[in-house]
Parts: sequence; C-alpha cells; structure tokens
Amino acid sequence: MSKVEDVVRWSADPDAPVGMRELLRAANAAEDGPSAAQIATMRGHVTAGLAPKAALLSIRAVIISVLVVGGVAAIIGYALSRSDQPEASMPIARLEPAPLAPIASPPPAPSPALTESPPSAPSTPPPVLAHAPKLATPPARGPVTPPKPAVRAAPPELETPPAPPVVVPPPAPPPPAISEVTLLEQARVALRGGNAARALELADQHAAVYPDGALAEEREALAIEALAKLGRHDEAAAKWTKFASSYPHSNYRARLQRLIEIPR
Amino acid sequence: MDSSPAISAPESPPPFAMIYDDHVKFVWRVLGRLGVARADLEDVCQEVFIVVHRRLAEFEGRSSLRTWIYGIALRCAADYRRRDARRRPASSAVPEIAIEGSQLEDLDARDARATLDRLLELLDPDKREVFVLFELEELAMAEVVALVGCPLQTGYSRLHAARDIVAAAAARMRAKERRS
Repeated sequence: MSKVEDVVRWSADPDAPVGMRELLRAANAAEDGPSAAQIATMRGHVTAGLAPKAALLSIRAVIISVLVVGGVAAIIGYALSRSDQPEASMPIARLEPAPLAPIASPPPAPSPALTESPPSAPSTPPPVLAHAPKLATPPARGPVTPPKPAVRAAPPELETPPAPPVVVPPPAPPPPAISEVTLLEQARVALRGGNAARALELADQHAAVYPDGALAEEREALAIEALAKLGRHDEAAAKWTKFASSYPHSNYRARLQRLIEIPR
Repeated sequence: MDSSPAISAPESPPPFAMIYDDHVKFVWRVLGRLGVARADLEDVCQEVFIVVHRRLAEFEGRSSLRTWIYGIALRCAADYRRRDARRRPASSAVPEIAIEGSQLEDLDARDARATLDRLLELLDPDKREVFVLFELEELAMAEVVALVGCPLQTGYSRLHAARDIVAAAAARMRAKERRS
C-alpha cells in the first residue's frame, strides 16, 4: 500500500534516532582498508592465479617444471597423508550439510567460469597439498630433510573443533574448512604437478562444500582437465557438455574444447 | 636481448589492474561491513577479484561497474558466512554492547566503526545487507533490491526492521552510558 517510499538515509536525516547520524558519519570516515602490502599480495595472487593466456602455451613447460618440485612434494604429501590417516586428527567431513541458499543474488551473468589458466608457476605460493604449509619447503631442498617427523597434519589454517568423527568418504584427506580459493589452488597445483587424480579429488571436495561457490566455474574446468588427463574421456566429455551450456561465455571454453577434442 | 618481449595483455586492454586498484579498498570495506572477519578479509577480498577478473568479459555495462562488483562481493560474503557458520557455531548470544565513556555522538572514527560493527552484528544477513547497502554504502533502494534480489517493498521492510533493531540497541547503549 505504501507507495514507493521516500526514505531518507539516517546519515542525512535530522530526525534519525539520536546519535545515529553522527555514528554513521563517523564510521564512514574511518578509513580502515587493507594495507599497501595486503593490496599487493592480493593483486599478486589474483593475477598469478588467473592470467588466462599464460596457461595456453606455457602449460606444458609449467607442468614439467612443477613436476620436479611438485612431484616430490606430492610423494611426500602422499606419504604424510597416509601416515595421518590413522589418527585422522580432524574429520573434515560434514562440510556440506545443507547448501544454504545464497542470500545475495549474484550478478546477472551466467556464472563463473573456471580459472584454469594457471599462469606461470613462479609467483604462486600456493600450498601444494592439504598439508602444504610444511611440505612446501622440504621438497624444494631435495635430499636434505626427511620431512616426516614433525608433521602431524595439523590443520593448516584453522583450528577445527574436535568434531566427532563424521561420516565422510575416505578418499581425500580432507582439510578442514578451507576457503574456496585455497581448495582450488591446491587442486590446480596438484594438476600442474601431474597429479590429476588428486586434483580431481580436491575438485570433488570443492563441489561438495561449495556446490554453488563463487569459483564453481573454475572447479568444473579444472575437473574436466583432470579427467582428460586421467584418460577418462567419456566423463570429461560429459562434463564438458554440461559446462559448455552452463558457461557459454567462459574464458576456458577454447582451452577445454581442445582438451576434449584431442585426447591424448 | 633488449627487445623486451611484449608482455602485454591478451587482447583487449586489460583494465583489470585498474579496476583492482580502484576498487580494492571499497570491496574490503564492504566485506567487512557484511560481516567478514578481519582475519579473513584478505582471503575473501581476493576471491571477489578472482571472480571479477574472470567475469570481466561478461560485464555488459547494464549497471555501473561498481554495482556489478557489489553484487560479486555480496555473493562472496554470503558464501563466506556459510562457511564460517559451519566452522564456528553461531554465537547465539547477542553481543554485549557497551562503549567506553564517550557519547555516541562523540566517538572518533575508529570507535565509531567498532561500535557500528557491533550493531551490525545484531542483524541477520538479509537485513544487514540492505542496511549496509542503503545506509552505509548509500545506494538507491532500487539498486539495493536488485542486488539483493528481493522486491522493492521487501527491501524497505528489511530496512525498517534493521533500523528498529539498530536504533533500539543504540538506545540501550546510551542508557547505559548515562547510568555509568
């Protein structure tokens, strides 16, 4: 019934509740942004993780170079993850109960596309595997450190509540609630490192936790690539068909299409 | 060897770097207002720009670039809340609001921000989004509802509900100050 209201903002309304006008104005004046260092770091991560063109040509080179380091890390990671299994200090499981409806409506666009194009390896400091933090260094050094001792697969970034051992499929040594970015970054690194199976695992994990996540497009592209690399062409093709219709304008189309059409 | 290989952008001028520089602070601020914890701002902010980067080609100028980015930030903040809620059971208790000494009107910028954060914590996500976008970001209500995805009238009722909650809490705060 009320026609379009003409609501005056509190910050401009002399009749706003006492103090609110001042409070809002003062709060708005508080410049409390990211530090210059944070701005630079984020810029680095965003561009490093996404430069779309880099991947096309350099992917092979990257794979090769990453293989050396990544391969070692992957092996160690695998060994570690196995040793962790028994204690399973933290059951990641129950991450995906009810996917809540996103509260905010996303932008109109169709939807995300995959960031599959990992630029060149250098700048990305990404965690290698779930256990990345600790693994990252040892492998690079090579022979020196026997990395297994200390590692107890402590959750890398956050403390997980001592949740009761939940029900989850055993496949991945699931890291606790990690951010979308981190999860996919790990998947990407695994893929670049030649560990397509691991990449796929992580992509599946992402799909379980963030079915409609902001990076769903990245995830799908990555999964397609991983499937193709694993020689699971039928699955890759099926996923690709779905991807192509879901993300008609995806930046990854050309690249994925190539993968699908020229299975190796 | 001095013919530096043109490391130029892919094809079209890549305004991304510019967009990033122009908007990073604003995205950071909005995310904070929408409830992303300080410690997580960097991660979530990064997520927003990954999406911006990826979707830039799809941006059709139907809205302003800023509004478009608001949409992405809103979505990422919502994803974040979901994630965060899982990680840490909602603190059911209404945060105790108390400010030291000074009057609401006299808070300096930092205290004002902190106070405001606590007030915003009282709002559920729907109301919070509307309140933040309208009162703090100063978007027009039509834009707000387009972003949030609800009818105009719903937008207004969320705003009013949010205002009631905030005003009541602020009044309690003042009463407390007076008593002390």
